Amino acid sequence: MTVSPVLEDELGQWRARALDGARAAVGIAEDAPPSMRDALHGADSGWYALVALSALVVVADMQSLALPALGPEVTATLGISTPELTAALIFKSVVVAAAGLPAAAIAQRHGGRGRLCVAAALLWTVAALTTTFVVSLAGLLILLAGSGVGVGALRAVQPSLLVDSLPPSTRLRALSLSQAATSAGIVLASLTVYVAMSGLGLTWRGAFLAIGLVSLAVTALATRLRDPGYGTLDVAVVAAAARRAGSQPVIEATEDPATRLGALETIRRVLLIPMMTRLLVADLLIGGLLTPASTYLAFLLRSRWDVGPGERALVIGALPLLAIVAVLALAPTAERTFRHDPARLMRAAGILIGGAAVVLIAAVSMPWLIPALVLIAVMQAGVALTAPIVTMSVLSVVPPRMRPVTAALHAAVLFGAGGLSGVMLVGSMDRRFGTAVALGALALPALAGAALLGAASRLVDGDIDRFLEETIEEEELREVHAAGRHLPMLACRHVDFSYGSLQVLFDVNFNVEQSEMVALLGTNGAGKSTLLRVVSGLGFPSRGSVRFDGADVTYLDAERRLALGVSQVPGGRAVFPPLTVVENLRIAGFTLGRHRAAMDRGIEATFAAFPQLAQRRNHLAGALSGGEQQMLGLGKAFILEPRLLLIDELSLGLAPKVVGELLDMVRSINQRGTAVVLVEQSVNVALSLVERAYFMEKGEVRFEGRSADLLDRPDLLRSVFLEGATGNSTGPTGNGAKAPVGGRTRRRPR
Amino acid sequence: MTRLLAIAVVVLTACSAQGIALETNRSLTLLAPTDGGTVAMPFSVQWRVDNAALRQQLASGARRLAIFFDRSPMPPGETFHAVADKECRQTPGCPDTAYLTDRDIFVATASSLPLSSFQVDDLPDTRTPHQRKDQHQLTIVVVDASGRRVGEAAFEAEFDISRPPETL
Repeated sequence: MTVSPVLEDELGQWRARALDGARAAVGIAEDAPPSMRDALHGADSGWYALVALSALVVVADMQSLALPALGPEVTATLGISTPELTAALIFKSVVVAAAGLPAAAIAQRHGGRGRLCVAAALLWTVAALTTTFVVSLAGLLILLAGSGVGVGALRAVQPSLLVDSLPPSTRLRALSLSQAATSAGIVLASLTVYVAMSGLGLTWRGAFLAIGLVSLAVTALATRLRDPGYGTLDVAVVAAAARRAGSQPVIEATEDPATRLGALETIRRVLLIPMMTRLLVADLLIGGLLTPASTYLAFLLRSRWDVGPGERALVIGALPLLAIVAVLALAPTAERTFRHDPARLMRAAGILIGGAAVVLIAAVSMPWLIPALVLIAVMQAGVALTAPIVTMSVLSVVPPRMRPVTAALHAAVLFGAGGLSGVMLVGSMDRRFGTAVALGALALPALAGAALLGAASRLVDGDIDRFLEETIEEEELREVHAAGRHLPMLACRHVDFSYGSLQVLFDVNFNVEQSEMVALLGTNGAGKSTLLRVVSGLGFPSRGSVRFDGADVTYLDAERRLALGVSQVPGGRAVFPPLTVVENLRIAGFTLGRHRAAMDRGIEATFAAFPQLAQRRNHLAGALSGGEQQMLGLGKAFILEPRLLLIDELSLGLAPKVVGELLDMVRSINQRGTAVVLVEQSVNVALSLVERAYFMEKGEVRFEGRSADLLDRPDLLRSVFLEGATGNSTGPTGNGAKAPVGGRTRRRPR
Repeated sequence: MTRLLAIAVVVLTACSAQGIALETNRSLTLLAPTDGGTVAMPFSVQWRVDNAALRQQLASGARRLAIFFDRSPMPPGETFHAVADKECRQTPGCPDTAYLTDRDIFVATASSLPLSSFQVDDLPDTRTPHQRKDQHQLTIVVVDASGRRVGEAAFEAEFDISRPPETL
């Protein structure tokens, strides 16, 4: 068992070297970024993707942007009320927010983001064209839903496709162009409505026909969009940097479906990124301001400054022009700042949002129209400037394949949860306090959101490094695997774990070999059971990785790890007392699915291995003795034929004779080829079974090696014996209390 | 596939290519109140009929104009029943002129074509402590003798009513 330390040393050397180049590979470097022309020289597909994806953004939401301007005409024609039309538009916002995650999940699983974007564009184009012929509210709702699905899908998929299509040194400029395109969409929608109705004398139906045709033309332009693959221009470069000198590139490994993260697992993983949690809360607060600020702008213009209907459409269409100019003009500066210092740029985003909130308060307080319009335009520009910065930061801290889901999550919180709650809040405050006061009040949570962005900026560097370290580790292990070298069956590396703000595991490394039996020992509250939870998928680390057969299972659901062969016998009595023995086994075997025969075979095999259980098969589990209950707990794990069995506190509260019988069973399970991790406070019990042991204290691994060597470490074992001597009466060497009493709230320096 | 077909069927039944208007109907011009203008109570709604056929139909009584304040008209092809409440719909003879007037819906039979007017004596005050303007919306649609809306054409104006501050 000496492979792991050697491997650790080697990997550590590789990592130190590779990390130097990795930041540059994702666009963070000291030198100035190249011009777009130089960076995209010879890469026609880059230019095409940039233009096509930006053009799609321009036309994506023209239907919803045009509807408020056409509201009186639409309601009069269809005989629906203004509240009904408003509710229909809110319904579309809900669909947009909800559609992002499923679309992102499809993109994550199957790729094909180019085709997805085109399909999304077709959806909203058909919806816009069909709106021309709608004759009822029901029809309008269906078409808005169809369009919403398309818009939601594009919002989720477009940023990651844009980022993957362009070199890292140009990405912030590309995202800025995309943001400018979003603002241009408002201008184009207003312009199309104006030209169609005033210039061409068309009705609102004619305006939608024009919008549909414009959208169709853009969709046709985008049909050559292709998915270049995830991370081909950044992570692949990081991986190349991680390879040892002279070694051949390893052919990109195909993801194993058994360990590929699903959308919900990805969301959970994203939520464990420190910056992301703060950023999503900031999204919620800021989104509460942004959506109402645009939705209620027309009402505000009418009620506060008495702007007529024609002028309103003109003003709403003209205001984003400043944002377009500002975003395009400042994009190179933003790119340069991100390249040198991502945290500084994120701080700037916080300041911009805070400034925008203050400017909005000034705007709604302004009695004169022109200064108010200037302030609103400045506010819009401030918000538009932050969007590409935040998107870039978000996409830089997650693996490429998770970018669609991350972008969808960001959009769902910002526009969905935040935006809709803001609209509802303003709606409820509007009548009582007036639109101006209601909008002004929403600036306060936005200021808090701005402060959170500032707080998130302190974490962005660390999160980028963590992502890079994971990428490097992935590549290193791939290379080790390709070279035919040995990898442990279970490898936990640099694992940190926290219960809320209470960190209980610190940089834990823990390996288990095929068919090996390992003891995990330590004092009460050392983090042994927590480590088992991390391995089995009942807990997820804030840092570090868990690999099973070389595959990263760090964020995989517990039931999927069960399918891979990882099974845990929890501490205490791991049975359902009101059920019989056989019912307990059936429940444990539910993962065998509908194969009843397989389950019956498994139950009989369990009874063969545990004859004592067979005799009591129809007894209630609660009526069994403590030893029999533990035996049933073992049997429940045994039925699934695990490859790795994690046993927590087997001997807890049992008589030595019973413990001996159970240990015989554990030994028997191990001899059949199942690797076993035995968590014990009883050193004698554990070391009588295993050749290798880990000793944990206060969340850290203090010893790893041969059992015999551990017996020569009285400095470590004394704490166990002392605790056992002064502990409660549940066992000879201590108890199995699960409270992480050794936890601390601050991360320990490495 | 079945779901897609079902959605397509629902969409198709909610859409129609018949009777829809792509071009703005200019057969009537609203002269007062003007879009975005301000009037004092009582005021006259004034319009000019520019379409000869409509003018003739209005003169013969085959067509009338329904004037809606601060509410949407009934959908094309529907009668005033569509804007009546449930109780009215179950009452024979309802909605009648009194019912409609009570809800700021008026039916005009033009007297001096092509230029006609209709006096409005009262509309509810929409001002609040936070909304200083008394804002209203006016929509005119064409109906037949039985009160059924004809075509999609609707003529609209947003306007304010100037009221003395003490009536707040």
